[in-house]
Amino acid sequence: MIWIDFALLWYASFRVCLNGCEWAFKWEKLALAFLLTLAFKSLVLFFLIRFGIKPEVDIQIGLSILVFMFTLFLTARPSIEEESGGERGFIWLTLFGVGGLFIFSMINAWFFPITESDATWYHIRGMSFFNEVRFDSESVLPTAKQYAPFIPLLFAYLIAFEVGFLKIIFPLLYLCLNIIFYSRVLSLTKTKKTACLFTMVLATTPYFWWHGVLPFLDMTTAVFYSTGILYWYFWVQTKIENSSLNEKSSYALVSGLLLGLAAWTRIEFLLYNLVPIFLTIFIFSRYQDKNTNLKSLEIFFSSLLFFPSIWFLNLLTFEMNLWSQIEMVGGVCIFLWVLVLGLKFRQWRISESSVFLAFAISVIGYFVLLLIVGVGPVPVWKKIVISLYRTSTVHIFYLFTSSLAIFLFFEKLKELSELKKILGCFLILFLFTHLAIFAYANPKWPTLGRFVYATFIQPGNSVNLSDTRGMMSFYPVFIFFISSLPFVRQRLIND
Amino acid sequence: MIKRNWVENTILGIIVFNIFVLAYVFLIPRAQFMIDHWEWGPEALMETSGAMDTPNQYLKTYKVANQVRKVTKKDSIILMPTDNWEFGSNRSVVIQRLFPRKVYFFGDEDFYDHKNSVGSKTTVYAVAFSGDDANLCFERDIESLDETKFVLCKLKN
Repeated sequence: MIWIDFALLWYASFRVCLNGCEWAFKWEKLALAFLLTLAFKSLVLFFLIRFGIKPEVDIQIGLSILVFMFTLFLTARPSIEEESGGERGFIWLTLFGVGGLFIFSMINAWFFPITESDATWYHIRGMSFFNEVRFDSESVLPTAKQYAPFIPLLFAYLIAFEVGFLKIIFPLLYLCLNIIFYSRVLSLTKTKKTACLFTMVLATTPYFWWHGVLPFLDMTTAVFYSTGILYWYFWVQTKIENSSLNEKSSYALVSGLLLGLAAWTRIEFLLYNLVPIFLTIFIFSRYQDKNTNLKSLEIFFSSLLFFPSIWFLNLLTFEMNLWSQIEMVGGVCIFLWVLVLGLKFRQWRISESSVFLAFAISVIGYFVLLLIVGVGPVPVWKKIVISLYRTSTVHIFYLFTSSLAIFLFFEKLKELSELKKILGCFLILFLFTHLAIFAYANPKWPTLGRFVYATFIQPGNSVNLSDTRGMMSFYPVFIFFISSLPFVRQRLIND
Repeated sequence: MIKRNWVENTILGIIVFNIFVLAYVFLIPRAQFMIDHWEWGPEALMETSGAMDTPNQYLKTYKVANQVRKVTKKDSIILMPTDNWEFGSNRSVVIQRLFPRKVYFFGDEDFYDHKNSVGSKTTVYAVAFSGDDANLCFERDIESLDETKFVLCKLKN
């Protein structure tokens, strides 16, 4: 039955993509539709459970049929077509490589039960959502209850349809990431060889494949966040090139939704979302003379904030004290809504200088916050040093993929287009945000020596720490950035 | 003859090295593990040491929880000793395997409230091992949980 339910929703989402995403390739729309199906399903389950309705199979299928029928009225618009020909050898190699890795990860997902710590809590939450029809079960640890609900909701979906192998979602997300990544690189560079080569780099990065079979939150977050950033990049491009309003709006909607879904999976990604938000406001302040239409900006913000906001509202109904870190992220969410409403109703016009001023104030504010709230058993300066060390060394776990950075030394970075400089800024700001978040959190070990030991002597102790996993959201964007460098592109085309 | 420049060679080199590490660290050991345990069910797999890249730290806890699961009713209450057994425990593993049974751990703030205030129709079991502080099965009929060194007793029918 789950196949029928999922096929109905997937086709419905595909029709939405056919209608609204003219800029995407057909197979890219299939991958995007898959992500939107999971998002929609999680939303339906969330509201059913919120209103105390057990998400039984017949209710779910009934709703899916309704959605399917509604989307039949949507008109399909043509997709962009890839140019025929090109490097057939590379295409077959990529299909064979990515396909083989995907099939093997599916076998793994089917074979291995969930025994990983943390993942067992997501499993319990999934069972509790379905059986107890509540979000604040007493079976779950208070901190685990407050985590964003996306993965447990998907587990509840599979449990409702009595599917035994819950890990099946993760290899499918791995495949979607590779398809969307390939499509975006192809869309940017127009050469299949470049798209194939860099997709192979991403797909064969051991850390990505590994997390494609592990039931943690990080692969899913990385898929949503990095694809969200890739679409955000194209949205910024349409803004700078002053493309049609429809194209701008649909890019803004898709990128906003995906970035919001990253926070729907790991709530702290609302903080990482501050990077594209800041850069977006900067771009809109810079180009406001040429085109002052803020519609796409409003769409971007509201779609980004929708998912995390409903989770924060839900948390307010829990009869328990919220975790201080959750409260802080909730405060950021409120701040962002004030910003959106200001832009929408008060018609705020933000100047370029005020963007820089806001940036400077937020950096100072962060350090003040760190000194006041971040005081704990480990001194603040030590936390900053440990975080700096971790942010710069976790890349060894991404092995050879991180060595793509050598191409940066051959590129004339000053001569890069403004758009690519913005993407470069995104990558730098992501690393600084990562550093700031982990300087705020309490480190796993109190001394730097323990971290050095866990990095170089016993890497098994730190390969799966939260900060290493969080870096998964950085790498697809980083590889995309490298593929876009003129130095690399010229050499791959002229070969 | 195919001519490639150093940029392409570098990218291909990265892919080859990635595949080598991927195969050596993940693919081959996982394939080996699956071949060795191909006909095992999920419950039995939980009691193994797991794949090399994600060793199962709680295999003994899974053994206990699976045994308790076999002999208790779904709507029962299970009282467990404190979750710091010297051979590895994790309360999430116990709750995961025993769901929808209600599980309470000795030493938790509201443990005695749950122990004393259960409805008359609910069956209450306790799990114990020699040397735990809770002594939940003291002077009761006990049932050994296979080779786990744990015992189970019924506190209330």
